[in-house]
Amino acid sequence: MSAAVDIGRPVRAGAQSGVARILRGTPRWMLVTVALFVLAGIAGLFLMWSPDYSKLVFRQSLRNAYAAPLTKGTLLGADQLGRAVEYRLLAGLGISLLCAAAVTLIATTLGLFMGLLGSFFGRTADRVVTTVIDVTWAYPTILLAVVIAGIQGPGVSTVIWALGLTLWSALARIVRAQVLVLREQDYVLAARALGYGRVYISLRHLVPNLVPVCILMATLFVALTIIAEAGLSFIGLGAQSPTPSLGKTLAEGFSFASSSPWPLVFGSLTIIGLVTTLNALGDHLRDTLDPKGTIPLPRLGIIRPPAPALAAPDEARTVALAARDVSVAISRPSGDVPVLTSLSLALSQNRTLGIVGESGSGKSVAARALLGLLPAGLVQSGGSVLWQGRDIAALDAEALRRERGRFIALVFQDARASVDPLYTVGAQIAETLQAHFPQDSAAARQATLGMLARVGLADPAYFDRYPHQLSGGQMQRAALAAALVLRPRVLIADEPTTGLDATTQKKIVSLVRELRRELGMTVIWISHDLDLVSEIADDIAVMYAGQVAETGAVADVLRAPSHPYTRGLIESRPGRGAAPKTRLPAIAGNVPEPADWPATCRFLPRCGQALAACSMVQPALDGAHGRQVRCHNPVARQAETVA
Amino acid sequence: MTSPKELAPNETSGRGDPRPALLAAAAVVRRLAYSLLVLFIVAVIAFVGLRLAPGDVTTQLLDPARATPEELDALRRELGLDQPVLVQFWDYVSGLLQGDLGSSLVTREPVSQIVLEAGGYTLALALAAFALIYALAIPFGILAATLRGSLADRAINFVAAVLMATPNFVLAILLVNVLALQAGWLPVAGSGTPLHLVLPAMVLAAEPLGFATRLVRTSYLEQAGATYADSMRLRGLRESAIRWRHILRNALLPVISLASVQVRTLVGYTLIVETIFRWPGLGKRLVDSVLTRDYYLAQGLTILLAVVVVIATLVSALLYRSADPRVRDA
Amino acid sequence: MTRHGSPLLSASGLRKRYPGAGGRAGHLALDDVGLELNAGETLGIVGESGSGKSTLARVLMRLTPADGGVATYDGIDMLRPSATEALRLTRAVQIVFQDPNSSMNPRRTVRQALAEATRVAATPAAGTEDRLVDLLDSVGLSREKLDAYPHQLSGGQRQRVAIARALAVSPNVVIADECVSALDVSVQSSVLNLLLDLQRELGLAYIFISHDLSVVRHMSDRVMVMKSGRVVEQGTSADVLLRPRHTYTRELLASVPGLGDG
Repeated sequence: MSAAVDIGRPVRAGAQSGVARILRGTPRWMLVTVALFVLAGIAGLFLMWSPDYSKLVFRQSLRNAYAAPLTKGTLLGADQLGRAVEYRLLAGLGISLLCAAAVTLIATTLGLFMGLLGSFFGRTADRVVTTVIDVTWAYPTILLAVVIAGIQGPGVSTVIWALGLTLWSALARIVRAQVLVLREQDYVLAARALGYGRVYISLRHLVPNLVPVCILMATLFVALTIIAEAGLSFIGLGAQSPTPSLGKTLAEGFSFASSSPWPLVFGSLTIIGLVTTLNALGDHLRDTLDPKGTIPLPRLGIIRPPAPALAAPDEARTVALAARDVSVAISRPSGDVPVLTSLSLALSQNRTLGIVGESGSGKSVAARALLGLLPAGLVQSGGSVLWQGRDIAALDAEALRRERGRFIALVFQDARASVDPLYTVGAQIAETLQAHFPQDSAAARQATLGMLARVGLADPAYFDRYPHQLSGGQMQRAALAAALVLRPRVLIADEPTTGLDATTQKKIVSLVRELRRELGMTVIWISHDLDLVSEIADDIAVMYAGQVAETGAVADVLRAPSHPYTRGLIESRPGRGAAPKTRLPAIAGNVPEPADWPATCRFLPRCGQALAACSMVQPALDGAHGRQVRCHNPVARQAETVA
Repeated sequence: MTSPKELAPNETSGRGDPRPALLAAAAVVRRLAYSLLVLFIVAVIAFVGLRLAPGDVTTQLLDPARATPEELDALRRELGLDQPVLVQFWDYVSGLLQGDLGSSLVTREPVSQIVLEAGGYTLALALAAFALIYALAIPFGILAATLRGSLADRAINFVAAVLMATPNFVLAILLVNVLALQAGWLPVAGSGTPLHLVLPAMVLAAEPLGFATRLVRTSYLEQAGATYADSMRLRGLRESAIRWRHILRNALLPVISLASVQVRTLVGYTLIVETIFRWPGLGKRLVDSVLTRDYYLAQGLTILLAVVVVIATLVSALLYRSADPRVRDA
Repeated sequence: MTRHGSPLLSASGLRKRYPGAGGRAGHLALDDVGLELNAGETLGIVGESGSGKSTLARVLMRLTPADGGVATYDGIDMLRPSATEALRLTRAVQIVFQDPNSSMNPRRTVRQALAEATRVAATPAAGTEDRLVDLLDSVGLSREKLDAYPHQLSGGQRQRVAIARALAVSPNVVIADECVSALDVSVQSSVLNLLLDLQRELGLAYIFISHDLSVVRHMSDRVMVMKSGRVVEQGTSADVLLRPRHTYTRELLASVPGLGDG
């Protein structure tokens, strides 16, 4: 749901990570603290089970009862039976951690098994598993512990059974939900197409991809067990004397707190320290595994201090929108990574500009920069944007808000994500109107209905439809209505028809053309589809790797492209004269990632006509107004030298 | 131009079509029937589980050292414990369907009476804790989210983390010490005045409060970065409108689901809190009834608590349905 | 084993209805669909979303059961084969999917993905290192890629691995289900070239499924147009695309920008 911007290939670090990778990214203090606790626990168990040292943990000495810390040979004082608190805590920690490990093992195995069974082995199995989960869910854990205590008496094993038998359902639910997604992944389908059975696929393909979520739940289980064990020991169902446990020490400390607070104090510190660390670890794991977890601070406007640029007066009349040397970067603690460099554009009134580029070209970022609202995590690192001759950095927040919507509007690629799913589309369009031109709701409704009709959704019933009730094409029309209801001068459409059927696409394109004429708008149409842009645009700008590679009138550029990339794009399309079933001319290589952009020509590795200059200095955008190319050896000049 | 007749994929053919309403009603009925099935299974498990425990209530009522086996058997016959298990079960279930929960084998009080007396206390405690949780979690969670990265945010996160990590009796002792013993504002334990409810409710609410606050914060942050938020900014909507009308509503949806989960947690933890503060609720009665093999009381209370949890889940599901139009059409 | 002149793969009357939720009648994805594929040729299937073309691919690969109809490959029942027949089918008909992001298990290397496929092949040399290197070579990837994880490869490279995986069992028929649709335009053409080369070298027959009419026209000998689960028009590429008979086909052709010329 986040405002995703196409900034290149999927992440390298983070999303696809093995266990080792996860651990490497974890803050050191967490790992060290957890390790210390575990070591302390192991030491405690060793003390407890070794014949020589167990007396430290168990020997009672009423003489020393309630001793204060650092007296009577103790470090942290003594409990009501004179046993040193530090040894009781160590041993108790060991027992509690052991208990937590057992519970985690049971709950994880059972949860994984049941989750898989329910989601991958047929509908009957699913119904059975769901019913079992719901029955387990209906009964609070502590009460189950009471019942088990009734059956087999209280003790650590009671705690283990009670917690193990109830916690698994939480994991099973999550596993089930994840497998429902995983089983539709192409690699699972491919394994099935190769004839592999469900058990093999579960073990080899599903379980390895469920490991991260299992690890996450495991930290949660350990924390829950420690706390629950404390609670159960408090009501007498946990560890029984003389076996120590964290909970038992705390419970005893509670009973005898009036005589000496120290067992309770130190026990509490131990448990709070351990559980807080575990929860912090769990949080960190959740952030690592779910990219949505680390959400950068949303920004509301231009970040850098305004340095107002002035436009020539006559230019202000003819140029609706201009960008001068705009650069945008992803803001990272390790340093900013540029995604758009030196964008300079001038958009004439009432013209349609098509911006063409593939993934990683920076075209969507350019759109957002032109609007003065970058997605979270991106920062404008240079340049200025002018709306009708005025630098928007000079506008205050309220002025900017007024201009947005009234002067310039954006239609998103994912139209459904650009509206609130909880309100009807009509209500949201009316809300847009009201935000700029306050009026009574009847008037707003009328205006909205009119606009909806204008985009082809004439039935008044559409006003009351929720976004999820509209098809892709209808939603795109509704989004257009929301953008155009304020009659903006400039409309930016970012891949508005990608993902729609060709027939629907054609209708939307002609709709936009009509509306542009009727409302006298200037349009920027962003797409990866060269043919589509050629149909709708007057001028074209081709972008590659964060830069503008070539600009010009559409007919000129497509007939005689100057930049080798543009030419490659044009020639590699099937259906453009190439005979069927013959090899297409293809551009070798891949689009480089922002982190790999060289300081020289960014197209160099894929270029078939490179010169020495190309590997020494980056070409600048060069040419007469209206027809520019960023290349040391553009195609036209090549033809000249040959001729 | 799209003709007005082009319908969305999951639309029905005409306005006023009764089918959607019927289907929704059928879904509700199905859900109810399923819940009853779940409760039935819980009842069976409770019934069987209790009888798996060795011994029975006769050892509570007659001193095993002095009573003769004949006397114990006579008592069993009197209580109906010598009947075959299936007969006992059938009697119990048919009694349930008529609203008869049986009587405590120890005190001979009707279970329904015990429930009415003690149940009210537990209910009051749980409701108070529930109200406290959401009255605090929502404002503080939103505050932490909107002031994200600041000192206030970190402080709220820290407090929430500690609340989640502290066992309730530890917190109880701390609060009792500070608020009751030292400051004298609140009574230490027992019941009788509304003030007696405050400390137990605070202790009960602590851990779920920590969890809920963090959930509200995360959910709010997630919505704040959503595409529609940016889209609205670009349409020139005021930031306050975006926050209160849109982000908040979407952010609170997961909280509805969380609430039903927390009812379950609260039901479990009342046990401990009632013991600490000597609050005369159902919790202690339940523990005792299991340990003394007071079957009918134990079964009755078990089923009652399961009913509470199931109802909470149903209510939460219904609320979610009414809040999120996407779920209504699924 | 194929008699000269008869189709390698044929199907008719295929039906598939997805069950609806909560008592509603489900969605009819395939309604009396039939097709024919001859050895070494490419049958292009074009249609928009909801046309049923992907369901058709899944039904032919037994990834989802059909409700009715027949499909045979070289005399074997493709819909309900016996165990030995199923193995023969697996080795004869394979599939390449659309999404380069999920075409490989993120936790397994290219080597493991390919070895999993070669294990199913009939020949004894199947699992050896040389065979894996050969496979990669045939799709234009170098040997070091064997130890790469999916996230270290680009989208185009992942699709090539997916193609290599399909080739590992030495099939005669490959179903390409929108396998270039999610790729950048500049990468699409090189993958399409690869598919054409492989067809020439190995004598493969393709069922090429796409929503993109220009791509289908470029790749196919014969074309089938689908809409809402039904076959609307069928014939040679030239016939269907230059002399369309059905109104829907004409509408589809008209809505593709730039297809009017050439």
